[in-house]
Amino acid sequence: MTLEQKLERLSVPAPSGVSDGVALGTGLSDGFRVFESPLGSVVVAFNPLGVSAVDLFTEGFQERFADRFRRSLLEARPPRDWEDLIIRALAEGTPGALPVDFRSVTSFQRLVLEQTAAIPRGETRSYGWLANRTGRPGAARAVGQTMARNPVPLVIPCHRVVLSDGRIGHYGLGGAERKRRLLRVEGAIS
Amino acid sequence: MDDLARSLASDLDEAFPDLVCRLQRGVFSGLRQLTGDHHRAEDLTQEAFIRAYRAMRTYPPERIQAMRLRGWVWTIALNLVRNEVRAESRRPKPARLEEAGYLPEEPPDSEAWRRRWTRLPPAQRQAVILRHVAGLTYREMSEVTGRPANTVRSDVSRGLARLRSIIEEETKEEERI
Repeated sequence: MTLEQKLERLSVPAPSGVSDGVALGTGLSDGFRVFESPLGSVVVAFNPLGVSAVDLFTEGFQERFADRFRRSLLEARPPRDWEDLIIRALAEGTPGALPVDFRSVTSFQRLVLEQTAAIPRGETRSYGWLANRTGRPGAARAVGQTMARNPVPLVIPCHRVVLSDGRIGHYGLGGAERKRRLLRVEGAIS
Repeated sequence: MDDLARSLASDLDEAFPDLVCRLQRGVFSGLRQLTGDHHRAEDLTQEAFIRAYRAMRTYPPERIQAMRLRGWVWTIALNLVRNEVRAESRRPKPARLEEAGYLPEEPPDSEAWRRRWTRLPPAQRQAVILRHVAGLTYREMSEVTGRPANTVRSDVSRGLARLRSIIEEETKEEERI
């Protein structure tokens, strides 16, 4: 074997982690990991900008994510200090210091979601109250649509937003019954 | 590569995984020999592509289309080696390998090559690795290193000659034992 051939044999395939690492580091794919929450196992998706989605850990979550966000999901470890922040955010129902990737919503929706994040545990607010807080008193319907589009339920507690007549309203993460269960656990309703 | 530059210029996000797929073997293998460290080479390969992507996002399509991609990615990679850059810790990491208890596959004679490379002057070592492990052309090497093509060519041939005599010495040594 010539020296040149010996040198060519030093060319080896890159480890398969490289392309996944690049996809995650560039944000072309989001990472995901399964966490426990008051609603059981949930999938939390994340990218370098923050947490991008929370969904029930049920069949088809990867397809649901790809349909909505137009990116793929790879099983991954979040940045080290985010792991505790995610666990705490899910348990307490508030993002705290955990960064959230809001690219999937409009700037109005982002404003509404940021106000939602400040609703304390054990309390509820109406869609109308949220519309007032964002400076658009007539926009209760748009607020309702925003709750339905919340990419990170549990972390941003859209379950604490109810109808002004006291009815519980819809819940994107598995329906009204789960919303009721959450509010009961938090002591907001009996 | 020209096709790829065109695809990157028209849809960066769609085409970027192809760029990684086409270049990662050469970049990783070259970095592995340059650093003598599998994990560091893996980190640096990832980091080089991530930086390439971020830079490309800021470029207009005409600029991307005119790029000579392999040399450009290698320019980024060699800068990372020179500056002893470590991968950013605030970044999601693939879970797969860690959980499978993955062990890196060593290329043949890894230890022998680590020893041989240390016996070459740095410019010759880099030139031989870029040419014969990473598969760069002399023109690409000249762009990457900022040295004239003739100089790079002579670094390669001197490096090869030196390696031949090192390997010959090794063989004689083995025969003596």
